[in-house]
Order: sequence, then C-alpha cells, then structure tokens
Amino acid sequence: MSVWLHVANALYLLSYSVKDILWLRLLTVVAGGILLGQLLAASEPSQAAIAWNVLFTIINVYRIVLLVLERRPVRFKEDEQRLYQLVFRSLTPREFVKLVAIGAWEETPAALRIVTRGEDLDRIRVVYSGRTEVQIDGRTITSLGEGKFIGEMSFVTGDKPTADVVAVEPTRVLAWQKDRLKTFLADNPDLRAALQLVIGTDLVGKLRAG
Amino acid sequence: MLDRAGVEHALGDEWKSGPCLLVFLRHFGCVGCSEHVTALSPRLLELAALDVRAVFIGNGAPSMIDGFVERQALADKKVTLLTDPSLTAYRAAGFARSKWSTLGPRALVDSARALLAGHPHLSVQGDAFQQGGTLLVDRDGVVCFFHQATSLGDHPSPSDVVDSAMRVRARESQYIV
Repeated sequence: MSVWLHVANALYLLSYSVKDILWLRLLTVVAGGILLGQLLAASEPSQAAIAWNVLFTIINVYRIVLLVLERRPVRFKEDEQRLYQLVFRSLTPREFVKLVAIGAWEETPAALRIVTRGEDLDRIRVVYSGRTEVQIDGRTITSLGEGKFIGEMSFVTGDKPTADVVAVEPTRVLAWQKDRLKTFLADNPDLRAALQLVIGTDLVGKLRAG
Repeated sequence: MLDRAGVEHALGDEWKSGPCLLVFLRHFGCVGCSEHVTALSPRLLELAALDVRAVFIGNGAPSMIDGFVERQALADKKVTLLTDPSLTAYRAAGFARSKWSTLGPRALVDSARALLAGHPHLSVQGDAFQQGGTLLVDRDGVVCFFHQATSLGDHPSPSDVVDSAMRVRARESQYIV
C-alpha cells in the first residue's frame, strides 16, 4: 500500500514540475488512478475520498480530450488548402478550419446576380474560382476574381450595397451568414483580429484600385 | 498641442488629409496607458495600411515624450506623439478628470492587472487625475468612434478601433458591396 501511495505522489510531484498542461493532466490522471485503486482496495474504503477522486479524474479526462482535439494535426481539403494559401495565410490553419466550418460553399452560374443594390446583404463571400463584376446601373466598376471578398464592406459598415455584383463566369465562393460570423468572431477575439487583417487588406486593395 | 520639441500644433490639422485615430493617454508614466499602448501597437500597421493616422496624446511636458517613445518602443511605429499640458483638448473632448477614476477600486484592480502583466508604474508625468479616451475622426472632422475611459485601465478593444477605421474607409469607397 505505502509503495503505491509513494508512486502516486511521485507522479503528482512530476505533474507539478511539467510545463505542458496536457502532460500535467495525463500524469494527474495516472496518479489519481493509482490512488483510486488503493482507496478501493482498502478494508474500509472512504466513499468521500473515492467520489472526489472520480470527479477530479472525470474533469481531467474531459480536458485531455479537448486538448488532444485542439492539438491534432489540421488536414485541409484541396479547395480549402488553395483558399488558405490564396487569402487566409494570416490565420493559423486551425483558425481557418474553424472559419470554414461555419461557412458554406456556393456555386453561382454565369450571368446570375449575387448582390443586388439597395437590398440587405445577409452574407459575406470570398471568391474561390470564377469572376464577378461590380456594376452600377449596368456599368462595370471593377471585377472581383479569385481571393476577393464580396460583401465585406457591407459587413463592416452595416450599410446596404450601393452596387450590384454579377457573376460573369461560373463562380464558386465560400460564404458566411453575417450574423453567425459576427457572433463567432465575438467569441473568438484572436480570430477576429486575424480576419480583420485579411478583410482590411482586401479593402485597401479595392480602395487603391478604385 | 505640443510636439517633443515644444512646437505648437493645431489638433484639427491631424485629420485634414484623412481619418485620424486620437488616443488620449493619461500621464506618460501611467501603468494603464502602457497596457493600452502595448495592446494597440501591433495594430498600428493595419491602421497605416488603411491610411488612418494615429496620434497618441499625453499631458506631461514635451520633454517626457522621448522617454515614453523609448519605453513603448514606438520609434519605428507609424504614430505621432503630442502632448497637451493645458488639458484643453481633453476638456474639449469631454474626458473626465477624477480622483475616483484614478484611485477607486476599479482603478486599483486595473493597476494590479497591468502590473502583473509587466507594465511599469512610473512617477507621474503629467496630470495624475486626468483620464483618457479614444476618438476616430474622419477627414470631415466627424467623430466616428468615441471611447471615454472611466478608469485608468478602461481601454477600447483594438479590434473595435480597427473595425471603426475599416468602416470609415469603406464609406469613402465609390461603392459598397
């Protein structure tokens, strides 16, 4: 009994000396498991000590699962990889995966209007492939191709669009519902700052081109 | 407004050529202001890319500006440093001058947070009780963002400031989509 007690406490001691929170929790779970075994093997097991130990273990295991999920390698699909390289390199791969997860891919045939002047725009889009044109009264102001945002000005200002956007080629975009994206960014301040850099860069490009 | 050499500047000149972010600090030795500037500094490049000028304003003597720039590593940043020892601009902006905001419980918590994060609390270099604030002014002089500090550690989120800068610039575009 005393040997296992010392082993468990040595593991606790080791867990306090490691810097990585994952290792700290893993060592704590192992130490707690040994201690739990000893408590159960006792002639008169302390129900309170067992209950507390089980609770600590459950919390630690839950946190370990979250940490492992957070740290597992990111694997992009082919289109995600290309879009990441094209536009979102200032985000970490994991931040980009989170962003993609709340968006939806959309296909627009040629000649279809994506944005209508004066009508509320509920989405912000980034062009993955194809080409669109910004038009006012049928006059083309500029074209927005791969890697360019559509709806980011409306997203930033909250204003209605003052121009139409028409697909001049079959166009594939990644789109986000504005309200959902705003909520998501409010919950992820680091990602919000990183996305601001992406959108700000796009905005500056358009202002300088215009 | 005075620059580090003691030369007078009209604040209105700062936004004549485009939008301008005005960050009114407390005194130059303030621990909360050190925290504020540290949070905002990494975003100054973004603001510069958006053609938004950044001006930090303290209220100590002009000779205190150089030390502040050195401590905050602002020498290579795109930011102008001015000082308003008369507090005229602070009063015009409506920023409070308050002992409670400087010494009250919230201020103490703010100070402790900033100190634990490694920000130095130096001797008073200006008006100890003057609070700061942040404004974004467009080229027409319209205030598009306004934050009035209610204690020495009450700062706007840098992301909110950048959002406002993007909003101002987007509205200058010939179209919005």
